[in-house]
Amino acid sequence: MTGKSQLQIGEIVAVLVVFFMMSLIGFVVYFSIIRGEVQDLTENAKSLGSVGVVKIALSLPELQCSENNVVRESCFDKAKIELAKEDPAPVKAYPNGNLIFKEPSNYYFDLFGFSTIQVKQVYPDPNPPNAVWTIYDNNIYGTPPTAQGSGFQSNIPIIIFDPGTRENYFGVLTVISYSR
Amino acid sequence: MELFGLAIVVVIIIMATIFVLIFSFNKAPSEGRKEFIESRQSSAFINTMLKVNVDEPDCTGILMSDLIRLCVQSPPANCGNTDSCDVAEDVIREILGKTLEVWNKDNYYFTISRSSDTDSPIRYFGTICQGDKSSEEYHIPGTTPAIAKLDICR
Repeated sequence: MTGKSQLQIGEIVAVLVVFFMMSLIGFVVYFSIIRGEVQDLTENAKSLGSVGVVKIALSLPELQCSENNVVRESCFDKAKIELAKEDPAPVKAYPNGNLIFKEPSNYYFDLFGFSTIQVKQVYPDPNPPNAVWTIYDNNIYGTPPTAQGSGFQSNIPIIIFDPGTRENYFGVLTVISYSR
Repeated sequence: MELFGLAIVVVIIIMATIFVLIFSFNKAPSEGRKEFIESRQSSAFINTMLKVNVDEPDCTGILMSDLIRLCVQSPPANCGNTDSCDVAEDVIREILGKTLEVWNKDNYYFTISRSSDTDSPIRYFGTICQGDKSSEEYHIPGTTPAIAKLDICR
């Protein structure tokens, strides 16, 4: 009788041990899946954040073209872009580049965060060749802006309007959004 | 008997876990940003290109949209002393070579055709998309209406 009851107690203990082991495995699997989904959501939020930076850059009144007070969409005024050349002491200087918003002040940091925004003339060939205007640069990696490390690069064709000759050129707005 | 029932429960739980894991790993990543950028690139590319002033020897200052209007006429008109279609092709090829082809997007199909006959483009660049694509077209009004269409293949 004593042996039989001990066997029954042993069975109950075994059942409880198996149950708790299964519960533990279930919790581990569940939290692994949740963590993966959170990482996906974070990555998705970062990529959509870069889309927000692109949209803001395209609608900057400091660079937009306008004619008779009517704003032209996807158009940057070349005269406004070239104002940076008059700046005697840019904080950063890159070859063939002009930094317009020369320091990531709180205002522009709130708009663009950690990103690099450049404008390049594609057609006709600019003078000097491969000229690139660096509008904003807050590169968390601290080196000349390239699509390196963790970042999203977006290239959007834009019109570069020259108010002197009243001609339109084909340009590209490049936005590189960095993420840690 | 209890152990037999417990074994069945364990097997069911393991199978359910396997199904959940398979479902989680096969879930396609969100491509909202990529779709937005491609859509924006398609429309911005055509819109920008058609408003560019041509800067070619013997054909300077004319808008691309006007150049294409000359090209789709029957017979095609000249820009300066050069066939307008040839000038348009050179400009478009130069722009494509510095933009879409550089951005690792060799999969694109850009066409210029008369509105009355879109199946036979006057000029085409790239290769026809086989699967999904992001497409934009722009109608160029005129004596002979034309359509410029860009497909970015996915």
